[in-house]
Amino acid sequence: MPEVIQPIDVEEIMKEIRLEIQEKGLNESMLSFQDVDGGEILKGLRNGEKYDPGEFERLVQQVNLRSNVPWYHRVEGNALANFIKKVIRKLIRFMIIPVVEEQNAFNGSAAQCLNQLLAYVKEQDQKITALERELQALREKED
Amino acid sequence: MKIIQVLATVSFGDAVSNDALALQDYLQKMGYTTNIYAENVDLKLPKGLIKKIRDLPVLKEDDVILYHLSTGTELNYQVPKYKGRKILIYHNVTPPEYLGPYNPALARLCQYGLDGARYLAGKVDYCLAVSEFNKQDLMRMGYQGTIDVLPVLIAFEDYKKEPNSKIIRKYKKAGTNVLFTGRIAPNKCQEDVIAAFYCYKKYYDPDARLFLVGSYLGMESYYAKLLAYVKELGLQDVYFTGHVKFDEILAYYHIADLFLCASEHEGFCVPLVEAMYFDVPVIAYDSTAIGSTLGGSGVLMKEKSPALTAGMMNRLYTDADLRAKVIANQKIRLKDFDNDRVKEKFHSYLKTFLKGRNS
Repeated sequence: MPEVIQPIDVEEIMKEIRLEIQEKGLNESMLSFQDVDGGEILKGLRNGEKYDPGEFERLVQQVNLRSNVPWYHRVEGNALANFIKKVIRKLIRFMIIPVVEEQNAFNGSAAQCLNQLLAYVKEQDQKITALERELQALREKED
Repeated sequence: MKIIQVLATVSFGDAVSNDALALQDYLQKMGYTTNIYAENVDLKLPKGLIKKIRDLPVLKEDDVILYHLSTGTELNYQVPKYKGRKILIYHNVTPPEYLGPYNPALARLCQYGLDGARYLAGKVDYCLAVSEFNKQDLMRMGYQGTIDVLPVLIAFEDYKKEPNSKIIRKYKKAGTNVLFTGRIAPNKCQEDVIAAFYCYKKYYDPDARLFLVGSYLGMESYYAKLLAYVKELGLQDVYFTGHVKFDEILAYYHIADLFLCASEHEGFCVPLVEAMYFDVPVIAYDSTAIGSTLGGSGVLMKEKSPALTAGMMNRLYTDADLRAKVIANQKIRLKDFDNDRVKEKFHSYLKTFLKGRNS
């Protein structure tokens, strides 16, 4: 016979919890997330005050994935707007394509640069970990 | 006949990419000629495993394209132009209104994705939605053909790997370990997890710890606001791990006593299944695909009150019977995501499609 999920009466448990909150006089009011300003912390984050290896690796992954920017973009809107936008796209492509290609060349180099940096950081990390282990072993031997 | 998969990005460790890779493996085993084509390919993936979309060969009318849609991309408009029969696998797109205040560019990308999803209505031959919620979403967008539900394939084998022992040693001690895994993103409402944890720590367990595991990349201003919120609440023991390695994620599941999810938008929510796998009881707010992924297991809450959620956390942590019942239910539900079952389902949908009966 197939196993069947046993229903749990969540509403009944909630009733009991509500009663418990009332009886214990627990205060439900608290600071709202909307009233918080993260501006100062954000400044610190953007200035790279703290090194985060996981985020660095993910950032490099994103740079690799998004370094090639397509120049072509689909236009949206009604028939007339669509037509006008298509004409504009055609008119400016002689300018846009070289700029995008230039940008993509730069993005490619920047991505390569970051890949090199990440590889170096990882290599150094491994070396440091190995040295720490050695140091620890030597200290234990001394003791 | 070839069966190829197309998606915007294949990156290491991402749920949509994992699904595509698992399907590729299965299609190969079934003897089909298959490949994955993507606009962006993660350098960490083995060379040649994924091909660039520009290398897509000319397809024949009887070839099949499995197109995974999860974001804004030009592909949403290109795919209908390709020859061959098209199957859309819809993973959902985050509503831009959540992201707008924190990352307007990402919000625009998601809007582009939703526009693309609407554009594709009537241009594909058949749809697979990864959850019942996604199926309803497609129907709201005007999709009229057959839509079947097929959960994502999850690489459960990977979960058997060794967890990070440092993390386990550090945190496996007295005090409740509360966990939520997933990108730091406003649709996931980590502030509500923090608020519930604040009440839990204040009224029930002062030694409790909260782990918010996930990258904040692209969501720095939301992350900064969360940090400020924790600070202004005077809350201790909240750990934002950022992007972590796989063995570290495993370790967090190993030490977790409760999994708390307050997310307001999920197309499937793989972390819920992960929690089921690791026998971590789940408390989740009932929104979007959450209810259908839990499928009657876990504890599904209809309202978002920090005090009530904290009460429920306490009940689930201290009431051994309730805890055992929730974990038992989760174990039963987990079987529905068993890879063999999902693959079997996929096979049967594919067979019907190829016979031309469900398009």
